Amino acid sequence: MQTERCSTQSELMHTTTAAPSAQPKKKLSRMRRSDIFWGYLCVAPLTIGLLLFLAAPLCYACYLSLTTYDLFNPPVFVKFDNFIRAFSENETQFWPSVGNAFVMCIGVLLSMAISLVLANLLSGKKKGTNVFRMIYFLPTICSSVAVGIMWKRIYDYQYGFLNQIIGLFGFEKVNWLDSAHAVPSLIFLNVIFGMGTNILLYIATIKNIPRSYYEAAELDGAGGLQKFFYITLPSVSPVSFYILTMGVIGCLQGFAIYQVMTGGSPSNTMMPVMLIYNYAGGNYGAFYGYSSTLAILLGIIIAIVTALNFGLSKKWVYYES
Amino acid sequence: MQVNSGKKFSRAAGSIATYVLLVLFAAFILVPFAYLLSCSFKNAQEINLSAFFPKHWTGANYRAVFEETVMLRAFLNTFLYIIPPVLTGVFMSGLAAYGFARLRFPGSRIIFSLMMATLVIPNIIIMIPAYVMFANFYHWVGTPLPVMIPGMFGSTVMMFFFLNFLRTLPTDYEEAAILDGMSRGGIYISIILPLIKPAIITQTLLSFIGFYNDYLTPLLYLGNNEKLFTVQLAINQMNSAYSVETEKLLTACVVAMIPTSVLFLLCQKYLVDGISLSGLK
Repeated sequence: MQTERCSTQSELMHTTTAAPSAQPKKKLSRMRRSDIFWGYLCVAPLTIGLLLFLAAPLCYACYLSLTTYDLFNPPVFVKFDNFIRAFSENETQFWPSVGNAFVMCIGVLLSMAISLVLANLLSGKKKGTNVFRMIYFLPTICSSVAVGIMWKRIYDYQYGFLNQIIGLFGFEKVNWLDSAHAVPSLIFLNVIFGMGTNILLYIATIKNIPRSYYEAAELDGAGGLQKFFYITLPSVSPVSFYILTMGVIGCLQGFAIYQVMTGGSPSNTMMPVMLIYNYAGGNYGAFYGYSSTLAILLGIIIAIVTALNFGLSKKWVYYES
Repeated sequence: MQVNSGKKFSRAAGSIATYVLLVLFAAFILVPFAYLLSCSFKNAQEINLSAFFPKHWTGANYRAVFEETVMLRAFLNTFLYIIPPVLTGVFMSGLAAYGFARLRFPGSRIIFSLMMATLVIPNIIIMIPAYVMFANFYHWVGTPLPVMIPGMFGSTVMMFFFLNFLRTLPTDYEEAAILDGMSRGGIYISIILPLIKPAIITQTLLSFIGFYNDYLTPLLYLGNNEKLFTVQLAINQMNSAYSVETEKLLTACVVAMIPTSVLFLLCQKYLVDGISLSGLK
């Protein structure tokens, strides 16, 4: 009823031209014209912003990627040399760094699984759920730089908190950020400090699953685990898909936390964005053309992975009706 | 009888297991923060000792952070840089949402679809050419303008969030206002904005937190000039300094986390509701 009323009203609002003919036609057309005017005026700022700061740089990126450019001398057009260089043997860092970023994506999957379990536990009517929800969300609002510095200290070899703790139990000190341990250390940190939003999304979805599904399953004698696997898991699959897609896109573009914690050494913590930054006025000098090339390649990789995600989603994501 | 007590037992065990798991993960998050906080009260002699709590609590680090480093200035800078884009960005995004939701004009569908398509463009592609453009065409590098101006036009994500919110609202008030002869601009300011207030608060908070915590953009544009540093750049500079004074660095981290944490504690309902809603669309 409510929605019906709304829709007819919005129809009315939209089609001022087709309003009752009792009113003078001239006034109506003036209103319609004012609607068009205001319509363009309303969307103009955002459109201009996107054109200036998104579309223009995007086109410019394509041009820059075909040049060598150091910001002071005019860009030199070199055709596809940058791309050839990126795919040649001379580029020893970019593809391994893309590989590193994909390894870090394990964290996205782990975070999904842990978030779902915790959200499932929190969606019941238990005492203290709000407090836990707040605690899990807390890292999300903290800056990655501060969080990175904090964990760098915790993982520190000589004075780090973690080594002090395992020292109490008589274990040898571990170098948590060396080439053997850095990847799991960083994934652990990403998982634990990146699950706040996921948990909120899962809780909101689980609460929307109709009770009757679970009641029917209980009548059929389903246990807790069965209910989780046959009802909860399929019901939250659209959110899982959202988290996976966004998580992978974010993970492949990770920067701040890695820059602060390892700075790219050991080499298996070098991320593509760090490399792109290094070539664009960072540690490696001013190679804006080549940097744009790498950025475009990374963008294409992200687009392919996202498309794959969408393609595969048909196999495991269930939408109602 | 026996079956019943067995069930009760397993339910109690399940409940205990649940809490153990919840507490374990909460500890992974809270212990690091507690450790950081405790370290910020240690003096230079105690900072490397293994005791969790300091023997002699001292507030000297906090004083040092504000007196010896660029932190205070960085705070002022940060707020100066981010409050204008946060406010105008939210206003502009809402304006665009209003245009798409309530006004009919030729091309609105196409403009909307193109905007939504921009969401799939990874940020990283834009970063470098944007830097070059700001350096060469606008001559804005070395000023806070590249950090401020782009955000002022609003964002597609925010616009979409407001649009979804607006679509759930009835149009009664607006109709009445049109009959009264109010202009569309007046309707947006005096009717729409108050109506979508919860969404506005959520997006203002998210936008503030996002800008405040951003590191790469200020690093690119302001990385060389200490006077223009944001909070994130200031703590990163302390981190990469030649001789790091750990206790002061960790204190600076605590200080840097305070604004967003306070906002979160005060407005967690808006944040939590907003995020729960946004993901479902």
